[in-house]
Amino acid sequence: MAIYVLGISAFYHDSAAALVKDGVPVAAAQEERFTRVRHDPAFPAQAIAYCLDAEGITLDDLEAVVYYEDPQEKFSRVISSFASGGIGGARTFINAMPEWIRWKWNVLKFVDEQLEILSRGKAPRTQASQHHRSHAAAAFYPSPFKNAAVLCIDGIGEWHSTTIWHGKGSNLELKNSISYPHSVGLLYSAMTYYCGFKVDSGEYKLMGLAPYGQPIYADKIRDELINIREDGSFTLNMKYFEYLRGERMVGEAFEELFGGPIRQPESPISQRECDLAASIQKVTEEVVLGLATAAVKQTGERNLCLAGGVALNCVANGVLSRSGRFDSIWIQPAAGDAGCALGAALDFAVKHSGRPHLDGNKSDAMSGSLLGPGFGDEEIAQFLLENQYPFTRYDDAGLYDQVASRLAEGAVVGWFQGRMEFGPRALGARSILGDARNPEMQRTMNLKIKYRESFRPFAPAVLAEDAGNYFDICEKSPYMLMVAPVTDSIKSQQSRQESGPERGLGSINNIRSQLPAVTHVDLSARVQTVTEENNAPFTYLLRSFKERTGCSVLVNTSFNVRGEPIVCKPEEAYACFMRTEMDVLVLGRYVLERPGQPAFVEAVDWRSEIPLD
Amino acid sequence: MLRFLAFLMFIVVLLPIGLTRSVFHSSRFGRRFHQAPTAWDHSVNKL
Ligand SMILES: [Fe+2]
Repeated sequence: MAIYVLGISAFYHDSAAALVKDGVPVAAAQEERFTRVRHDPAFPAQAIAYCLDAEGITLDDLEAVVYYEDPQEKFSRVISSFASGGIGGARTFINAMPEWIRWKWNVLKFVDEQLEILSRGKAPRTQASQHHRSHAAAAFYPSPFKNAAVLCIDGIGEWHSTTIWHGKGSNLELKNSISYPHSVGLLYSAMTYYCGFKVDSGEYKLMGLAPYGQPIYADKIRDELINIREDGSFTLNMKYFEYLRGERMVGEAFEELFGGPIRQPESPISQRECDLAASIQKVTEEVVLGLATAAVKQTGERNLCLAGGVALNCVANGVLSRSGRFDSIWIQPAAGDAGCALGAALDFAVKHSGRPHLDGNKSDAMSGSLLGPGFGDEEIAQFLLENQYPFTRYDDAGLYDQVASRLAEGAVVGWFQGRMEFGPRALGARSILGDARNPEMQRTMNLKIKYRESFRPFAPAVLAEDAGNYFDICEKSPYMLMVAPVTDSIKSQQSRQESGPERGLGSINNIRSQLPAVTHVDLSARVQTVTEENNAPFTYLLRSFKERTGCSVLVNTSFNVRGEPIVCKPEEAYACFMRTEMDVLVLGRYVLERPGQPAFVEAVDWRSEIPLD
Repeated sequence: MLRFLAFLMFIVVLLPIGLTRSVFHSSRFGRRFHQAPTAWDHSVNKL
C-alpha cells in the first residue's frame, strides 16, 4: 500500500500544502491560488483538500502530517531577538506575545484542530520538522544528484538563516550554519524596505531594478553593513538594523548611512534606488558565491542544490552557474517557504522508507513542478457551455498550429494547460504568451495585460535544445531560476558596440536584441528551458512556433494581472482574459477569441478589489 | 491579562538579558561577534 505524507507550511507568508506518495511529490499548491489572497499566510485548508482529492484519499490514509518548522525553537529566537532589541521593542513584544502564548508556540496542536475542522477523516498527530531541514530536503531529494552539497539561504527560519548540508542518497547531514540575526535574506529585505518596496514580495522588484544602476554603494555596504569572511561566512552590523524589535527593518541609522530617507511606497523611482539595488545585488552575489564555495569545500561535493528565498535570486544563480566552481546546479522551483511544505513531507518519507530511485530518463522528481490542480477537457467544456462563451475546439496538432499562428501574428495568448505550477513562476501551465521578437510586445503586455509600466522585462521560454542559440547558458533552467546573457549573435548593433546599450530607467522598451521583449537593459534574460519531459504541451507549442517562424522562444509571463495570484481555475483564467486586453484564451484544447465574447460585467471593478503589488 | 504578563516578562526577563548582552558583548547580536574571525556555527577547521 502506498505511503502518503502531508507537508504543511503556514502562518508566515505563502502557506502551502504538499503530498508525497512513496517518497515522490504527487501534489502541491499554495493556498493563495485558492483563496485569491496574494501570499496568503492562513492555514492552507483548501490546498490540503486539493492534495487529498488529487490522490482520492482522506486524512485517515496519511502516514504522517509534518509541519515545516519547529515552533518552540522559533519562539526562543523571537524572545531572544526582543531581548537584544532593547526597550524600543517593548510595544511590539507586548502586542505580539498574546498570539504566541495562545497558539503560536504550540502551533502543532492548532494544526491538528484545523485538520479536524476539515472533516476529511482523522489525521495522524502533526509533527514538526525544522525550517532549514525542510528547505534542504526540498532542494536535495527531488534533485537528480545521488550526492550533493546543499545550500539553503533565506531570511530566517527558527535560528538558521544559512545552512550547508551534505546530501548522500537517503541522508541529509547538517554540516554548518549561520544563525540569526545574521542573514543575507534579511539584508536584502532591509534594502527592499529602504527602497520603498514590500518585504517578502518586493525583493523581485529590487532585483529587476539593479541592472539600471551602478553599484556605487557596494563598498559602503561591505564596509558598514556586512562583514564577509574568507571562509564564506558573514555577519551583519546590527547597529544599522531594527528588525530585532520586530516593527521595521531599518531606521534612522540606515537612513544616515545612505544619506536619505526611506522611499515612500508608490513615489517615483529614481536613479538612487537603481544604484542601491545594483549595490545590494552585487554584494549578495559575492556572499552567495562565497557560501556556495564553502558548501562545496565543506562537503567535498561538486554538485550543488539550492533552496531558501535567496535561491529565487536568479541573477545570483546565474553568477554561480557561470563561476565554473560547480559541476551542476539544481534549484528547487518552490525555493521559498511554500516549498518547505514539500520538504517537510519528503524528509519524513525518505527517513521512513528511503529515497526512491529516480527513473533513468527523468531529470528530477518534480514532474516539471506541475503539481497543482488540473482541469480536463470535459470540465472546461462544461464551463464554457454553461456560460455560453463562444469557442473553437481543436485536436492536438490543430491546436498548436492555430495558437502558434496567432502568436506569430502578434496576439497575446492566455495559455491554460494541465496542472498548475507549484512555486512562484508560471512555467507554461498558467502563462500569458507572446512573440519575443515583437518590439512592441513588452509595452503591449505591460500596458494592456499587466496594467503597469514595468522596469522588469518579461522572461523567455525556449526549447531546451535551442537555448544556446539565444543565451549563454551553461545548464538547463527548467524552472526559470537562472539569468543568462543573450548571445552576441542576437544582440543589436548598438548593444554590440563597446559603449553597450543605454541603461537608464525608461530605456526598458529599447531594442537591444532580436528578442527585445525579453532582453533586460544589461543584455540578460531570465531563461526557462522547456523540455517534453517537463511540459509536453508547451514544448509542442514552441516547436510549432519554431516551424512557423524559425524562432523557438516565446515571452512567458504569469497568468494574472498585477497584484493577483496566478489563476488556478478556468473561470479565473476567463475573468483575467476579459479584464485585460488579451487577444486569445486557450483552455486545454478550446480556443477563445476576444471578438464575439459576451460583455463581461463585474459587480465590483477588479482594480479596486485587487491591491497594488 | 496576557498583555500584562508579556509586559512583566519584558521588564523582568528580556531587558536584563539584553542589558547583560550589551555590557559583555557576549552574544551573536553584539559587536564582538561581528568582528570574530568566522560566523559559522561550527568552526570550519574542525570539518
Ligand atoms: Fe525559509
